[in-house]
Amino acid sequence: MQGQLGEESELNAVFLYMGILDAYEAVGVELIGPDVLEEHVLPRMTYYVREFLPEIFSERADSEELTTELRRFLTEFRARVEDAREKGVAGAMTMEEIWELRAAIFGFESVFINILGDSAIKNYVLIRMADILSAYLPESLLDPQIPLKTKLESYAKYIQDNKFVGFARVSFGDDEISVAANRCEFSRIHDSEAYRNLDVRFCPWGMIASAIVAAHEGKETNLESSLFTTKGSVSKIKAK
Amino acid sequence: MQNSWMFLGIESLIVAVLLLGWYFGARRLNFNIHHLVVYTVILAHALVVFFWMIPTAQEISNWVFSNPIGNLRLVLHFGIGMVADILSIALAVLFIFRRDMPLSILRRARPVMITTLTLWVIAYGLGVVNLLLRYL
Repeated sequence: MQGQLGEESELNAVFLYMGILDAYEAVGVELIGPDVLEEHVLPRMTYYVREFLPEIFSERADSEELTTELRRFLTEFRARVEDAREKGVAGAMTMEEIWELRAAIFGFESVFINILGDSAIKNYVLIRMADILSAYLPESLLDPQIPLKTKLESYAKYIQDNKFVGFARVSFGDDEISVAANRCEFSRIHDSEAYRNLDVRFCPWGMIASAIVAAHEGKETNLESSLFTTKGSVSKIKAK
Repeated sequence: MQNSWMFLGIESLIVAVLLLGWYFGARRLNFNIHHLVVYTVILAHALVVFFWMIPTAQEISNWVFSNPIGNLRLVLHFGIGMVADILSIALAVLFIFRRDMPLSILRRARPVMITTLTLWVIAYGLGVVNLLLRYL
């Protein structure tokens, strides 16, 4: 996986995932408590790292050691992301770290679904994400003057041009928007038990699209659970 | 003979629609198109198979199997086509009952879909070759 994304793409992927993670953490602290990360997310994150990076995890015999490492990763990573933003380069960030970031996101998703129900994600996280992503997405995706259709089509092109996915499209129905992404760079994790068991419900690309819709319309959106295929996903978004 | 060319035209249209459905439906993750194309194509092809191919095969089967090596292209066309038909019907029935398309089933079904499409195109190609060699 390493090296398949360009350096700028890695940086952009990290920024987008940080936006999602920040939204989850902000809402998690509000709704569950200040220890949500330590008590709930980290144990699940360990599980997802084991699922997503089995070849790396096998080198670490001690699960507790991995938990400690992931705790340190989350603490230090935010500072590294800010540093990368200032310098405009991904620096020493590796694909393993991006996977760990995804594991953190799915750790939060699992916590929210199990403790609060997935409506908490739809009703709180996506709204917060819309605000937070304004710091990470290109301005053209957040400009209120630009039509929503144009923004979402630009977003589809953005994730394609950055080679996060091989193909992306947005379709507009009467009362719903469909966002499809195929040949995703991260789709190999769809082989994991977490996906087969539907422990993971929302594709990050669909979540970001939903946040763009929410930011544009200034109202809550309803993101149905993403339909995952072997190489991609289809997410349906409805404005409430 | 006229029937043969007519059904070749129909099967060519079916294969073209199938490939378009694969590209615009499967690769672009537009499942409405994919399902519409697949079910239409399977139904149309089933009608051709039942009302023309099977009766034709029954007529010529003695002749074909009297020299299976010499008529290998025909034997392969029948055999590969039959496998493709069975697989396609099995997939269609599966996803009628599992419209939710869970990933656990999709993962196992996808290689079968690709195999079915490949066999279908091969059987079609053998059919074209057989017809051209027979009448030209």
